[in-house]
Amino acid sequence: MQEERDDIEKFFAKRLGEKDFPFEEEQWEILAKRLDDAGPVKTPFWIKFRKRFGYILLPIITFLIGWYLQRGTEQASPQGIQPAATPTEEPQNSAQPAIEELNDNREEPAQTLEKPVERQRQVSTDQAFSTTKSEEVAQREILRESVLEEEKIRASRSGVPPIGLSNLVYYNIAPMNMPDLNFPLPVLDLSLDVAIGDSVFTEEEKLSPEWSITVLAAPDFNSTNFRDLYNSIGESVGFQLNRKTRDKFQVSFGLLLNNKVYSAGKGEYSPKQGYWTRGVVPDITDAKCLVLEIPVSVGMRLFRTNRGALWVGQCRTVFLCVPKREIRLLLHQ
Amino acid sequence: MPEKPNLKQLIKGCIKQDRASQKDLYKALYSYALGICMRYSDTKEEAQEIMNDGFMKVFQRIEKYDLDRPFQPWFSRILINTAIDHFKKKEKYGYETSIEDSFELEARQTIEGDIAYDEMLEIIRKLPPKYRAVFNLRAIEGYQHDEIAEILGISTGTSKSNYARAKAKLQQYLDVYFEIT
Repeated sequence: MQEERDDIEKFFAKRLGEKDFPFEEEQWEILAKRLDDAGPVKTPFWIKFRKRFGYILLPIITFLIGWYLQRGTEQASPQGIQPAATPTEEPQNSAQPAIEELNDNREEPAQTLEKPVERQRQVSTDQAFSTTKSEEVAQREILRESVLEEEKIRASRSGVPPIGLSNLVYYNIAPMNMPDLNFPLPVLDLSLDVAIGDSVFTEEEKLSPEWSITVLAAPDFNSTNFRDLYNSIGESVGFQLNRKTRDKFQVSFGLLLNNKVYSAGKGEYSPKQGYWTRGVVPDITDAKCLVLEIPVSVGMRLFRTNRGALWVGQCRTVFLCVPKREIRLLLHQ
Repeated sequence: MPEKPNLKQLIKGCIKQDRASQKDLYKALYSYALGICMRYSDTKEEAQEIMNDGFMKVFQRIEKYDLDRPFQPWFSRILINTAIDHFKKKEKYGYETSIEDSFELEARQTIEGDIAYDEMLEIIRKLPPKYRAVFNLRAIEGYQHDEIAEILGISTGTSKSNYARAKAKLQQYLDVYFEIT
C-alpha cells in the first residue's frame, strides 16, 4: 500500500478508473430534450464525402505531378548526348559509335567492323539524335541498311548464321558504363499492413508505430506493353523504412535492387528521342540491367481495422543503373 | 472502456440521427463518460452537466468521426475538452480555490488501510482547479505536457510545475488521510 502510494499517478489512475456508475434514465431524458430542441444537424457535404474525394484527388494529383515532371524531363537535354549532326556533316573522330556489333556469342568487339560500314553507321547514329519524324524514318532506313551490310560481313567471316535467327542481327545499343541517374514518373502505390499475432488493439499506437521497416523480396515484372505482361521476370530485393508523421500519414524511403529483364517485339518499345536507345526504334528488344532504386513515398491510410490497414501512397523513385547494362536490339533483315 | 462489438452499428445509427441508437450509445458509455467528468468537476450534478454537454457535441459532430479509427480516444477527447471549457468558464467568473482553503481533509484510520473511490475523488477535488486539470490530464488520461499546455492554454513549464505541485499536494493529503507523520 505504502509503495503504491509512492507512485501517486498509478495510485489514483487505478482507483479512479474502477468506479461503475449505473445508468440514469433521467439524464438521458434531459439530453434527449436538448437534442430535440437543437434539431437535426446539417453536415457540410465535403465532410460527408471527404474520403471519396481523397480517393479521387490523390490519383489526379499524382498524375498531374508526374505529367509536369515528365514534361520537364523531356524538355531538358538528355545526359551524355551530343547535339545532332546534319546528314551532310562529316562525323567527328571523337564521336563514340552508339552501336556495337556482336557476334553469335555477342562478344566480338566493334573494332572488327569494316571502315565504310562503321562510318555509315556512325552517321546514321548521329542522325538518330535529330528530331523530325521524316528524318527519323530516313535514319532508321540508313541504319537498317548498315546493319544488313554488317551482317553480310559477319556471316562471310564466320560462315555460320545466328542459330535460329538467321535473319536477325544483335546489336548492343549505347552501352552505358557510368551510373545513370533517372527520375521516372511518380507512381501510385497501394500497401497493406497486417498485424501479426494477437493484437486486437485499443490503443492507437499498436498498429502504427513511429518507425517501421518493410523487407521486400519479389519477382520484378516488366513489360513494354500489356500483351506479354509476364514474359520477362526479374528479381527485386530491398527494404523500406517508414516513418509515421501524423496519425494518417507516413513517409517512407528505402533501397531496392532490381534485376530487370526486358523483352519486346516489333513496335512494342518506342523510346523517346534521346533516351537510351538514342532514337532507334528496335524490332526486338532483349535487355537486362541491374538497377538500384531509391524510392521515396508519402502514404495516406485509407482505412484500418483491428487487424490491419490499407495505405495509398505516391511514390517517387530515383534509380541508378548499375554499370552492367545490356540492351540488345534485333533488326529484321 | 472495451469497444463493444455493436458500437460501430450504434455509431452508424447516430450518424443517421436515429434517436434509439443515440440512447443506446449514451447508455453504453454513460459510466465511462461520467467517470471522466467526475474528475474535473466538484459535484456529481456538475459532472452530469458536463457529460451531457459532451454527448451533445458528440451527437452533433459524429459525422466527423472516422469509423476506421477507435472511438474511445475521439470520444474522451471531446469530453475532456468540454470539461476543460467548463473549468475555464468557471475560472473566468472568478472561481478560484486557494491551496490553503483546499487543505481540509480529515484524518482517518481505515482498518484495511485502503481508500474508496469517493474518498479518492474527495482528495482530488481538494486540489485547486488548475492543478487538478493538469493532474487529471497527465496522470489519468496520459497526455504529454506539451499537449496539456495546448489544451489548457498555458506554457509547458507551467504544466510541469503545476503537475509537480499537484503531486506534492496529493501526497500531503494522502499522508494526512492515513495519519502518517
